[in-house]
Amino acid sequence: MDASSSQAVRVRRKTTPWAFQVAVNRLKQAIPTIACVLVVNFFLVRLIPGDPVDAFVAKAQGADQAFKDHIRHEMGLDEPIWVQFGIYLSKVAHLDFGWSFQNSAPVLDVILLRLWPTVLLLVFSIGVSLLGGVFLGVTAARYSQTWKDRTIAFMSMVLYAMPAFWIGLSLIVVFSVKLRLLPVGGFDTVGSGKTGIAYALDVGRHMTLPALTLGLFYLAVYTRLVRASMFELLDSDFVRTARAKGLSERTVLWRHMLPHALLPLLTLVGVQLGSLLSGVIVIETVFSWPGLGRLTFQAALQRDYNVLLAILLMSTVLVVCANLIVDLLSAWIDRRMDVN
Amino acid sequence: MAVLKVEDLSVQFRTAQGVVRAVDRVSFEIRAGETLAVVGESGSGKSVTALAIMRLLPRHGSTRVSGRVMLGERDLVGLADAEMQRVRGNQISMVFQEPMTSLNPLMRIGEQIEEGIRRHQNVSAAVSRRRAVELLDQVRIADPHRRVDEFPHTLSGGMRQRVMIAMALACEPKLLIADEPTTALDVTVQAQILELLATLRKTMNMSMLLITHDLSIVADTAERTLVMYAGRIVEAAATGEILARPAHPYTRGLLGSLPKPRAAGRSRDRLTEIPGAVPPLHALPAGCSFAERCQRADAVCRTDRPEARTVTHDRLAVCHFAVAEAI
Ligand SMILES: Nc1ncnc2c1ncn2[C@@H]1O[C@H](COP(=O)(O)OP(=O)(O)OP(=O)(O)O)[C@@H](O)[C@H]1O
Ligand SMILES: [Mg+2]
Repeated sequence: MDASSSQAVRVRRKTTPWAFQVAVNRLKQAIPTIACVLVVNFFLVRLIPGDPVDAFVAKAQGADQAFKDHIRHEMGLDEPIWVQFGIYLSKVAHLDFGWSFQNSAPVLDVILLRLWPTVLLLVFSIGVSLLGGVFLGVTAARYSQTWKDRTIAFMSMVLYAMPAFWIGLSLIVVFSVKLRLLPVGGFDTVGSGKTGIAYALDVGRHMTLPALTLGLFYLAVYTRLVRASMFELLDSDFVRTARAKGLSERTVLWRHMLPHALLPLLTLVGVQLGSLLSGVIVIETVFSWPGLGRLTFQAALQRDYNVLLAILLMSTVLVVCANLIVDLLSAWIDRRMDVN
Repeated sequence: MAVLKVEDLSVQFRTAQGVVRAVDRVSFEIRAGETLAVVGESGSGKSVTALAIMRLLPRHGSTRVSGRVMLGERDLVGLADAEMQRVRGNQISMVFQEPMTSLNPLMRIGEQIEEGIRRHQNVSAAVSRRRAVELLDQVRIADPHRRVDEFPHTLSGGMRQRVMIAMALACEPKLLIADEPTTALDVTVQAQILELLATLRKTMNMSMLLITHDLSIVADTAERTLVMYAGRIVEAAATGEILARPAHPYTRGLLGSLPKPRAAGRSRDRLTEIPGAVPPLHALPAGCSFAERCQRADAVCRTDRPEARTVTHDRLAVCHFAVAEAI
């Protein structure tokens, strides 16, 4: 490397190559994961007892055998299973996830329609609980052994101990049934004809309860984790050094201590993402939120294989992407590996 | 002229065992340009004294500090937090005992030096960076231009202590408190660090409070020496006097425990030749705290707590027999 380019690298503080490295490593690990998921999902779904043709014709009452065979052929289910799998793979490669017979629409369309409500709900509830958890955890450390800290510790303990569905039901009872402040379920007020900001507010009102139900638990978990990590650092040597420099307590907390507490938090978030889908299924069902979770539940009940497979694959890809982001963030906070 | 005057400083911790008097009515002053050594066994209250001056003790309700720490006209004990932050790292700096853990592992060395400079001086990023490189050079770290951008884990203990010293000196403080700065280091590195501290102290014309439990290092570095035992100062004098004619039996014990060639067959690890251990600080005896371990102790030592006596001019000892012994 010549002098000028090494100079340029130094000015950029060498973060780009490392971030790139992290991304490449992650994606390399992700390829076998996704391949496994493709195989396992395909065969697992076919192990679910029940016949999709039966489920489908249940709507058309009194279907005869000829009609059933016709449907079976239409669905491609009369082929040998490995042929079905081969067809499936080549179609996935072309982003063709087949036809949802239950929804009478291409699977991709069905999923994309349901994807955004879920992404909105997740980003909002997880985002808010992350920010809130960090803020509350740092505040608890700032005011350790005072009433502020004790209140935060107590509240997060209570929320942590309560099951999510119970929080959800209590919120519905209080805010929807008793106070009549918020809608019980749905995505928007049907037929209200609202647009723009009014529509966004309407969706926000509908999202408040499911987001709280999902988020409060994570808020409690994140608060407890950040608080514990920060407390461990309060009397550590390098924090004492930071104070000895005359830094303000705020700088000590946010610049010196928080990054150390964020690393375990990010690890936890990465681990949790995998199990998030199951939580989303419950919440979306309880609040009739038209997202992927409820779609998953319906598709499983209706043996809508194509939809189910696509959702599982998509959630795998989403989890992989989210983990990539988590890894990049961790690498950005812990830059010790930067210097080559 | 005194840079810092400590008057009747006491520190108490409320613990599960009871109230611990870690520092008990300690008074001393540090004069401009001098090095004052504080020696004493582990647990004698040296670090707590230093941390009390810096106001870096745990801030819980269980810590109680009383007395005065006068920096010029100001009493640091009662100073508002924001005011105290302007003193720390600016007028008084501190170097700690544990170089391996005293730097933030997630921050570059340069950043850690610079943030102190930028906190106290209104300078641009370019200036503070140049100053950080200069400081690394001053504490004799080779290749400072490259080192500023490195993380602490790439440095050895001795190098990290140099970085700590660079950080402490960044704003040219009037007083540097060095709390056993070499205890965690190899013997050869110890000597280098002490030498570096002594040189920098002279060139920057600051005062130094050098805490150590090793009497052998005070002879070359400190003008005056305080000896602490169980939270109290038991002897204070010019270093030469203390080494030549120790007035307190405890000081004599410490001097006896200096490592020296030993008869074959004796354990090499045992440095202390004073039998026994420091009494628990939450249950100090009624008389002299050292009486249990003192060969000279008398009935009066077990019943009456000795007061400070002037042995000769500028020399104190807290012992019932100090005057008689020293002359
Ligand atoms: N936060 C605290 N709470 C309770 N007791 C404490 C606290 N900090 C220090 N002590 C006690 O105060 C006494 C003096 O401790 P200090 O650290 O000042 O000793 P030292 O002279 O520096 O010893 P060393 O040579 O081991 O560093 C010890 O008995 C210690 O247990
Ligand atoms: Mg100490």
